[in-house]
Order: sequence, then structure tokens, then C-alpha cells
Amino acid sequence: MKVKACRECRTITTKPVCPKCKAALSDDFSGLAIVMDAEGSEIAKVMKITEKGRYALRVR
Amino acid sequence: MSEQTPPTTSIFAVRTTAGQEKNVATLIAARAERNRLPIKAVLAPEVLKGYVFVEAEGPHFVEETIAGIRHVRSRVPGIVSFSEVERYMVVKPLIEEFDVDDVVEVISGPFKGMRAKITRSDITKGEVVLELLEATFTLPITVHADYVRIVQKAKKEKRNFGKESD
Repeated sequence: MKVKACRECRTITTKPVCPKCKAALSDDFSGLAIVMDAEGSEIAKVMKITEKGRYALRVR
Repeated sequence: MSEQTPPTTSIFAVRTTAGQEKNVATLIAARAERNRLPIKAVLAPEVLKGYVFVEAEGPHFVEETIAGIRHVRSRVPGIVSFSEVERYMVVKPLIEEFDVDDVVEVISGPFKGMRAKITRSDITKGEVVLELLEATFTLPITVHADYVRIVQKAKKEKRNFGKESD
């Protein structure tokens, strides 16, 4: 299954729609951010991520 | 009165084999989860080859996590400042960096490898209109900003010191 990223929340998934926001996905993305503790992470704060998971840095 | 509390975590750089950054990030996250290590986040920017960033409370947690992981070379001594990593997290659209008259190289599509000059940029569409330098006649082409790479920035203004050449 091809890995894709959500155009809205940048979640990386293999599902046909984004499991978090149900938005459209794109297979043209780059970078990877794995957030394990969204509340305690400064990286998550800057990226405006509130849930743990795998995220793309740039989605086209 | 309301002062911002300094972050309790720091960012550490880990050197990896080039091209294995995403795999290393995944392995670090998996090990941290399995061993319940306090790793907050792992970052693998595509533009930075051979490095991943790990956010943790201390360097010993990072050392413990990366020990023995395949494709990990070493931890870079010291802390990486947040401002240095921030530029990889908040990606500025490439189109904003282009100006009219910049010389660019087309990196994808049928005109791949050709050099061109930007004649117009459409920020809303994320497209640039180019004029190929190698073409014998003026051929305007519209390309997405991601498919061009800047070669030479346009000079901001001409300074006419002394004689003006014709």
C-alpha cells in the first residue's frame, strides 16, 4: 500500500482518506516528523501538532 | 508577569548513513516506544542528508535510544538550537523565494536540465512563467515552482558608476 500524506494535517497514512481529518491525501510529500509526546514536544508545538503520530514536513 | 517557561527538552542531532534518515527515525521512534524512553519527537528533514534530529530531555536518553541501531553513525556532541531546526519544520513555499529575472534550472519535466529566466510568478497557483535561455526563440513556459531550482538571483538594482556600457 502506498504511503500518502494528508494535505490538511500532514498525517502520513496508507489509508485512502486521512484517518484524522478525512481530507484528501497526496503522495507528493517530503520529510518525516514522528511525534511521540505531543504535549511535551517543542517540535510538535511549532508544527501545531496535537496528537502523536507520523507527519510529513512538506505536502504538495 | 506571565513569562514563558523555557523548554524542558533539547534537540540533539544524530548522524546517519545518507539516504537512511527516514528508516533511522522510524527505528528510533520504535525503540523509544518499546523501551518507554522519554523521546518527544524525531525529525528527518528531506533537505538535510545524513542527519536526524531527536527531541529529548537529555543526551543520555538519545544515546540509549540510538545505541546499536542500524545506519546510525554517532550522536553529534552538543545541543542543536531550536532556531536552527525550526527552518526545517516550517517550510516556506519555494515560490516566495523567486523574483522576476532570477535564473533558474528546470529540474523536472520535458525541459529538465535547461536554464531559464523567470518572467512572472503566480504565488496563488505556485507557478512561475519562464523564458528558456537555450531556446533560439522566446518560448514562455509555465512550470510549478517545485520543479525549478535557483541558479542565480537577479541583481536588485543596477548601479551606474562611471560610464554606462552599451
